[in-house]
Parts: sequence; structure tokens; C-alpha cells
Amino acid sequence: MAFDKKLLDILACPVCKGKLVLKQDNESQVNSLICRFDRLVYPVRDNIPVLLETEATQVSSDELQQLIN
Amino acid sequence: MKPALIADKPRYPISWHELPMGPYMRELLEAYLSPISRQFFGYHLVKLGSLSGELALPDCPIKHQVTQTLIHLPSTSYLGKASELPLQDNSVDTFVLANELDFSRDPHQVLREVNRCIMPDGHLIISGFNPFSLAGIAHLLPIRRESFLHNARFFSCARVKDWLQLLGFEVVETRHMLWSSLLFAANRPKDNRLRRWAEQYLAWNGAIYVLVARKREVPLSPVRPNWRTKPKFTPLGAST
Repeated sequence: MAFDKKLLDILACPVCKGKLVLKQDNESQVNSLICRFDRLVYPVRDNIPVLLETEATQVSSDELQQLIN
Repeated sequence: MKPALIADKPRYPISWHELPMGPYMRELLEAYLSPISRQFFGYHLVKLGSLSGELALPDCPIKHQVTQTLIHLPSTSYLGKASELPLQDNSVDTFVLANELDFSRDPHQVLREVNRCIMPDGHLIISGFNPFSLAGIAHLLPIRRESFLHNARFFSCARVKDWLQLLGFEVVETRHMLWSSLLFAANRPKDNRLRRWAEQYLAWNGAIYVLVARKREVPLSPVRPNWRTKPKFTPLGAST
């Protein structure tokens, strides 16, 4: 089952309720959802987004720029 | 009245099969919601919790139906907490909360989050266990402690209606169903005269209730300036 793109219309960061950016990696097929404001990266496991603050990874500003670009 | 907020999170069932008469309750809810769900309109329907996720709404015109759970289940669309909904403001058209408030630590926070995410005129379906029923009495008895019925919070229908009114919801329909003690019954209720009579005349005494509410918002209308007629004759400088 592929990742449901329609989910992006409603999903938000559970901490700041801001929009999330989907980061797709074509090589490793690992997706993640990124909150720019809180610099949190939420994992997508088996095409199911895990939007829990405890499961998110905190990244620095430079890492965030690399991830988005 | 016990406070709605409690310290520990109650044990949460992951399927209707874990509740006494659970599959029959699910059938009843689906049969009741089937004609109502035809009136739902919009793009996104969110089912909160594993019990709501198992409710099938095939007649609902909203095609994008997603399920939020806390742990990974076959019906899961995304993982998240009901008290911290990972959803944008005013984004969801319909919410389904099947017995979600009964198994939540802070039902006020769940409803506050739902209120934040639901669109104006959006539908909200809430079902819960009725404390003024045989099941409400049975869950107070220290018998069959392993049953999930003892973990349910049993908020009364009037109390949930009061919370909804505070948040600006209009309760459109209310229905009580399933006249049974749940704890001592078989998987399906026996069809006898007493039960048929009670379901007809003691409907308020049903073990579960369903509320259909709609979010109402007063639209912002601009304040118009007072209409002033322009006089045709203005004596310029006559007063000076």
C-alpha cells in the first residue's frame, strides 16, 4: 500500500499544529514527515505516519536544510 | 459527580471483540449510522480510536475515511494521540468517536481537539456507555474484573451533551439502544418478550447511546455603515 497523499491535506504537527512536509527518498523508500517550525522529523513506517512526539527526531537547522533541499 | 480528568489512562480495547457483546454492538451502531451517514458531506472523515476504525460506513459519500489509533492495527491510517490530534485546524468534515470518551484519560481535551479540527457545520458522532442502564449497574459490581466494561468511564448522555453545547455543537439526534446488562449476557441478546417491551418503553435504559452533533458557528458578517442621504442643496458658507 502506497502512502496516502490525501492525508497531507489534513495532517499537521501534533506539537505546533503546523503543516508538514513530506520527504521521499526514492533509493531507500524511506519517507518522513518534517515539521519546519519545531525541527522535528516524524517517521513513516510501512506507509503509516507515526505522528507521536516521542517517536520524532529533533534535528538542527543545518540538518533540516539538507533534508528539505 | 466524578471529575472527567483522571490520573491514569484506562485500559483500552483494540477491537470490538474484546468488549462484552462487542460485535453485536458494532452491528447495531453500523445499522443505525448507515442512513445517517448518507447526509455527511465533505472530503475527509476521521475515525478516532480502534473501535471507531472498525465501524464500516459504506453509504457515506465521503470517500476519504481515515483511522487514527495509538498503536499499529490493520485499520490504522496514521498513529497519533486523541488528546493531541495531529490534524490541521478546520480541516476535517466528520469525526466518529465510538466509545472513545469512555476509554480516555481526559475526555475534555479530546473534545477540545475535535472542536479545533472540525469544519463549521461538520458532523460529530459520539457513542458511549449509559450509566443509567443495566450495564451501568453491572459495571459497579465486583464480578468478572477482567472485562473491559469495568474500565469504561460511563459518562451520561446528558453530561456529554452539556460538553458539546459548551463547545458550540448542536445535538441533532440521540438514540439509546441495546437493553442488556452486557456483563452477564451471551454474545447476542435472547429475543424474549421482556426485552422487546423494554426496548420499546424503556429506551432511555439502553446500554449504549449514540449522539449525532453538528458544529455550529455564527458567520462573521461585516457591519454596514448607516445609510446617509446626500442633500441636493448645500448652502456653502451660509453659516459663516
